[in-house]
Amino acid sequence: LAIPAPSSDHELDDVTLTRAQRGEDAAFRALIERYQDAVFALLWRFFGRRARPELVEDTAQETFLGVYRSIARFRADGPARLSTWILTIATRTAIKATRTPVPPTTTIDEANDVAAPAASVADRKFVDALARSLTELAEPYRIVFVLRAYHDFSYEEIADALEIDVGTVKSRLSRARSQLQADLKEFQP
Amino acid sequence: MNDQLSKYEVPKAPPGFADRVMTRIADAKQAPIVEEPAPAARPSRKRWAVLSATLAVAASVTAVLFVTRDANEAVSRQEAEDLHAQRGLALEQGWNGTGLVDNVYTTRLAIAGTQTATDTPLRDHDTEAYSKIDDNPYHTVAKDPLSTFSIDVDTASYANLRRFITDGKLPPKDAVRIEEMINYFRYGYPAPAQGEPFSITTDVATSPWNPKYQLVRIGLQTPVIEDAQVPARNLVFLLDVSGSMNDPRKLPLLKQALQMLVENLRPQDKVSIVTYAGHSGLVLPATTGSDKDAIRSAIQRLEPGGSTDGASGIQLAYNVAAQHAIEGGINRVILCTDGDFNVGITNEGDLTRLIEKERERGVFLTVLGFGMGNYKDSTLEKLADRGNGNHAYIDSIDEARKVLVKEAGATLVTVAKDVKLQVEFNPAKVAGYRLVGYENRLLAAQDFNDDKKDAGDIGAGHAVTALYEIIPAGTEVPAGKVDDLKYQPKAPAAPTPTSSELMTVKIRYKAPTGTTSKLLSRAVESASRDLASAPVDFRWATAMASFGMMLRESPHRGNLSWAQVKSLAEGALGPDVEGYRKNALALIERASQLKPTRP
Repeated sequence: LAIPAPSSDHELDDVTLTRAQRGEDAAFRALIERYQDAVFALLWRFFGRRARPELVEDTAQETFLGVYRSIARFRADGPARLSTWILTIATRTAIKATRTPVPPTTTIDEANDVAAPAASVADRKFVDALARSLTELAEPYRIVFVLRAYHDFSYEEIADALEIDVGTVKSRLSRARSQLQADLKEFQP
Repeated sequence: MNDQLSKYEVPKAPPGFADRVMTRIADAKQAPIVEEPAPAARPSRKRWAVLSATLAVAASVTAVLFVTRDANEAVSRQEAEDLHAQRGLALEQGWNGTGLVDNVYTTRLAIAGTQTATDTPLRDHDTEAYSKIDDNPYHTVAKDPLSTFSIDVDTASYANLRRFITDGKLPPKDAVRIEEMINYFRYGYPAPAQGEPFSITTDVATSPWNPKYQLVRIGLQTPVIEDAQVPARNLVFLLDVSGSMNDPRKLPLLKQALQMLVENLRPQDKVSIVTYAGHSGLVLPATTGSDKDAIRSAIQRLEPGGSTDGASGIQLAYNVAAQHAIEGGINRVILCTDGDFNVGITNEGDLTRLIEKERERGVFLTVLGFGMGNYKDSTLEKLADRGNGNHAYIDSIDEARKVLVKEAGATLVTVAKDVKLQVEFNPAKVAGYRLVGYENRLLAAQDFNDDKKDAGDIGAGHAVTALYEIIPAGTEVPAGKVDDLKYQPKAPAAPTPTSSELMTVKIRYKAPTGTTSKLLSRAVESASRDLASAPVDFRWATAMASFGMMLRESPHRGNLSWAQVKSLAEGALGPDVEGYRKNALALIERASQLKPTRP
């Protein structure tokens, strides 16, 4: 099964980060613009069938408000990358948001119909199938897979973000993979 | 295929997302963060379909925030705030460290700078930094017959306050430096005599804000050098390309300005470009003015953002300047940034020493400020001072043209350095005085004759104007109530009654490469006249001083009103070929309608 490339090649530059940590708005805006697509990507996939533009936007806003309030605590010289740190906040914000059940109004497929540019028929089919398949996964499996496959989190980072054991991460990831592979059999080379 | 996939698989952040978050941050700044957040109205891309979900998310947020663990530590909010304060404090203290705090005015700046940092709370996001300015007080001539200060050719304050007023806000008081407002404009002072670095003009007229007082104008003018005679230039641009420069008023404006500069390069001129904070390094090796295309395309390629490689940007810039140094030419590093002076050397004491060392070797530093929100005016001004350079603020393409095109030639030729002024007042004619502006430039009386004390430098075609408010003898001086001294001899014997002089202006300066100062001296006669009959430039300088005093809400503004400032300026436009004065008049008009919202 093809796993998409990690979404972030390089992190925000140090100077802008330092400025953002000092509370400078222009720098924080630069930070948002650098990471917003990754956060949206994570949230769309995280919410699966429940995903709709309002919920994703709202959660993304809350995520960056959270980042804003705690950015001074981020240690540039620590082990965590800034992208991982922000996506961890996004994950936790999203988990809190799912505690209130909401009936789905827009599926990720419908949203894709609006937002996705044209692609080759084969790619398009695969994407639709993968998206559908992902939404079929139960949330605990989906989020583990999304963090690992799309956002380049290590097992330890996933464990930390979700506050579960590394062993649990591995077993959920393995189950998510076999489920997706079964669903997407026709695309295997 | 993977690369392609990531492009369309899920929707990207919708347009305006960052704006909506910044709006919410601005809202959050208004109201303190509470543990039980009220569902504030938020900017939305669409109508909120399900309010209950929104509420749930909002309610959960504060909880999430402070549970979120850093990779290695759990920190309370209080600790985070402390950390933030300490960080700001350390930055400022580092900056104000060894080597800087060595004379009167930098000491004042250092103290003010430290206060600025400690006063910044975690959620206060107006982080522009200005050194505190208290209006100069009145001095009595009996106790304080000497007034000493360093000249200042900077103009940044005017362009910066113009940005505030154009945006519909009054500038912070400490951002208003009256001498820079006055010196922004050109005045028709006579050219200096052959061989002298400047002419001295003095005149006296009634003060507009207190008819019992007089104003004395002191104007210095350096010779104008024809562009053709400008020595060859070796300009090294040190550009901040961090993500925060990605704003129409920052990097794009700078690029546009540099393109204009390129047009005016001559074959003997050289330009290099070093970037820092984003894609760091030498992006344009020294290239002569005969290869304009190479320079243009290097400028075109400048992009904000990217990762830092930790290279020492400023050291690289100075190395490039040294490698291509032009004997007898203009060798200068031009730092362009929106506020951060993290140019590769993190210890600010080291940075200061580097700039001073390079200054001694003849490479001067010019600092150009861009943008808003995090503009570090106080730091940038100090940096430029250390490097014998000037500091300007670029708020528009017109200002960029003024600074980088019109003034990047002749005015970079230093005509005199360490220029100090000292005025001695005649107690027979003057009871008290007040220097208008130059608060950051005051020197102790003994510094005047001390050639080791650094002071301001002046380039070709520059003028510097200072105004003194004079209280004639026999009029009470509203100085602080200091008792008469008990042990000192009583008032000196009546001064020579024959002298009709008001005061004597003394100027010390060094030749651009000299180490010993020379002295010029000029007596000012006491004959005064009505302001209305004073020269037009005198009235314009007075109008700018009045404008500044209104913006600063100066305690010494007496009965000055906006209407008076306006009519003063209107009556002193003169020929105004470039339209700078008309623009200033419009600015006065706009400012007079703004309500003071600041504390």
